[in-house]
Amino acid sequence: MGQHAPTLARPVAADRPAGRAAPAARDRLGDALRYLGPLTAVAMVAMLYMAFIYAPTEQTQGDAQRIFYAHFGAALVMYVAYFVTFVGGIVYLWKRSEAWDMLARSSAEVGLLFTTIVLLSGAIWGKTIWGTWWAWDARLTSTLILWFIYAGYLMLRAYGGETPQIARSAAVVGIIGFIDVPIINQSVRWWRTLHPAPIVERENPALPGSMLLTMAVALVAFVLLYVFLLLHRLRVEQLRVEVAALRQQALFDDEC
Amino acid sequence: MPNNLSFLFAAFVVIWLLIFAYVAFIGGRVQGLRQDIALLREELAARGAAEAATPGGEAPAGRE
Repeated sequence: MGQHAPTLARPVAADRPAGRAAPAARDRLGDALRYLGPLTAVAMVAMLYMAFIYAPTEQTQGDAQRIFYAHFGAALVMYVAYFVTFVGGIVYLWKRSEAWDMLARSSAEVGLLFTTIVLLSGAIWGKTIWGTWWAWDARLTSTLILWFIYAGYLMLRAYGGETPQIARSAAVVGIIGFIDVPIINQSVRWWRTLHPAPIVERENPALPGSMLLTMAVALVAFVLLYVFLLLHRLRVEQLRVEVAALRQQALFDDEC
Repeated sequence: MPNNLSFLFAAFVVIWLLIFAYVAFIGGRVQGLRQDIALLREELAARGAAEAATPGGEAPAGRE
């Protein structure tokens, strides 16, 4: 026991203030968040200004069409978030690197937030233009399925325990679940749906320039928000790793 | 042209409530984990100090 005393007297982590386990990595995250927070706030304010004031009012839907800008931004970021989970899952299974597992898990959680935003903003928008909160339309239903897939992924992570086996199972769920993303994207082409077809991909965009510009600003704002939330979520993962390491150290001390 | 301002505001309120709720949730988790880290470090430091106070750094009898 005596030979461990110096380690316990000056544990590796005890030299640093609370919450600072990995200074280099944590500082990079902290620095990024310090700049990204104000930048995201500015982009969000710009998005709100353009969606509410700058963009013209749509003739048939009226002001409710302005919901589209946030709905669209959240939907694209949702795809990005699950793509990151998909890639993170593949790399984790390949290299068994915990960093990729942490990234996949964090992105899935943020992605679920954006999926919830898409579903709820879509329901409110649908009520104004279709007269109903929900329809079992191909795009709406496939998006709801996506929500359940990644809610299941996160429940597996939350209740399955912190074991490599659960991480591997979750990676498989995250990879297979991503199959739903192209289905959602193509659903308006493959099936007759209430949901409108893409309006930007046509040769002649159906939107005036001011609406397209507002869409672009909304997209940038939501991408920044995604990165901001993802970095915050990754900080939680870093702290969890640090807590686990300290607990292990304490247990090791008890056993000795 | 339909006037759907109430739906427009409802949609944006829901979106911002969800975002702020998630940020608060993450903040709560960070705080909780930092408290755990501080407690664990205190405990480990206290144990280390007790070990150092033992003559010759030896463990108390019966623990090895």
